[in-house]
Amino acid sequence: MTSHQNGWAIDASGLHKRFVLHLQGGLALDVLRGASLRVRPGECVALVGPSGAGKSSLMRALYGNYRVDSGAVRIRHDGAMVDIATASPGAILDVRQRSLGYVSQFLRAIPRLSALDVVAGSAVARGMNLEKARRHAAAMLERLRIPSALHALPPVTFSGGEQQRVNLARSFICDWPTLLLDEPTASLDPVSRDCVCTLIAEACARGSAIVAIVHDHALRARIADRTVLLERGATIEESQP
Amino acid sequence: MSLLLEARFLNKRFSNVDALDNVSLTVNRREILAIVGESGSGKSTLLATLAGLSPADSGHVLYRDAEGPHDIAAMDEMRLRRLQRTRWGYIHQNARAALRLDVTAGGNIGERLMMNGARDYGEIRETAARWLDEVEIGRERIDDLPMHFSGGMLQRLQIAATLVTNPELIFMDEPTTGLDVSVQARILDLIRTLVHRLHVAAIIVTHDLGVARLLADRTVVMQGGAIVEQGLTDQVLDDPHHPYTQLLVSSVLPS
Repeated sequence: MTSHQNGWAIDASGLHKRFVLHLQGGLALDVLRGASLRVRPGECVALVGPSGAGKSSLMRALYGNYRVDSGAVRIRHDGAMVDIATASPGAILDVRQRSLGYVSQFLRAIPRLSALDVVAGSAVARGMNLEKARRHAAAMLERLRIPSALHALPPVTFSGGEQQRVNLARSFICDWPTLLLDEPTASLDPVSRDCVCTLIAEACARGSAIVAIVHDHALRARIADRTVLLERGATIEESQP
Repeated sequence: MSLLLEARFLNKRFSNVDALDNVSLTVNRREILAIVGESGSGKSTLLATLAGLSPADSGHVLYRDAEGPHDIAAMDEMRLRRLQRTRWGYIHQNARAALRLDVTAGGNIGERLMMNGARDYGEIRETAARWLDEVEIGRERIDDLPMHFSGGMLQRLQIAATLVTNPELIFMDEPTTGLDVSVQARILDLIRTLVHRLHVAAIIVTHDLGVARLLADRTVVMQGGAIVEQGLTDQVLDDPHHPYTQLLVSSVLPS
């Protein structure tokens, strides 16, 4: 199937991933067993399932962080579908640079860089000039309730919740065609959580496809168009949120 | 992504040890490649071979410019030297040995400019001053002798003296090993910023997976002179396949 205006943003199917732990005597862990996921532009899909069901593994496979053993991970990029599972490293980096965003649960600290430049940096990487990127970064940080007094400080010194908000600001400053969110609101207070819900809704309205791992039922009902359940590495059920 | 440097089936033996065992790799323009592995894995030998400082017993290193690929082993020595000091740069672990400690900081930077044909004293001095600011030594230290500099300052001076000619490829051999942790972070951040801004490709040898994580687009893992695993840095570090890579990753203390 080729992609056009009404095609998928994500079209992943038949994903298998086995970890072989050589330091544990070759112990094999099957974290994905035939998982599939399709998401349209403008749609927000919530991944649910018990701990260890493979939600984060599926997300990492979609991002090309985990290399799947079989299956295809087709991501819309420049109007065509690129299979992350077989693409060259350079092609994966290009997809990640322009089409596919990912917010992990924890901010990876970059030594010395201010919160403002951490956030602005992701817009600069996508071609915005530094001055404009800093203005946008400041506005996005304010929106996520990081006071301007903290903007010049490296986020290494921030609390867990503040770091997560910097992490979110870094992604939401860009318009991602596809965005993956791993527990985006896990350590946030209710006001920040509301703000993230609004950012997600705005991104979907602009046509972003979003996949989010969200445990909280009420939150899921607010943001998701659809819920996909994972159990033992397989997507077994789709339902309304 | 266009190809800049390519190694094909490099082999090298020291007495009866395989220092390089059939190593092939590629480096693209503007790309940062990390070579990781523990001491004795062959990573520094590989770097020196790629940089034309130590020939392989067999195999080829091909450098591509506008005229096409050149086998560096087949280049005449003059031409290789000119390439090494104009289009390439080499940042050594030991800055003290790489710099001239009895020549001023500005002189160390200016020397490389003069090797590349710069003659105007005022311009050379101004460029050196700008680079001293760039690497956070400060232009006011331009006439100081590096013999009085700290280890971190020496490394920053070496970085300035290497990048001043705007190379397209730099080789870095454990650039932060042996420095205080606080100094390491500053230098890594400096390298990261400059390499991205100047669009230079880099090959960095390190035993520190954190350095690879911070700087490198791609990572190759070496053991016993051979590449045992390679991929995007986050793939290799988060989803290591080879037993040796799993051992390296599991040996890192959580931060």
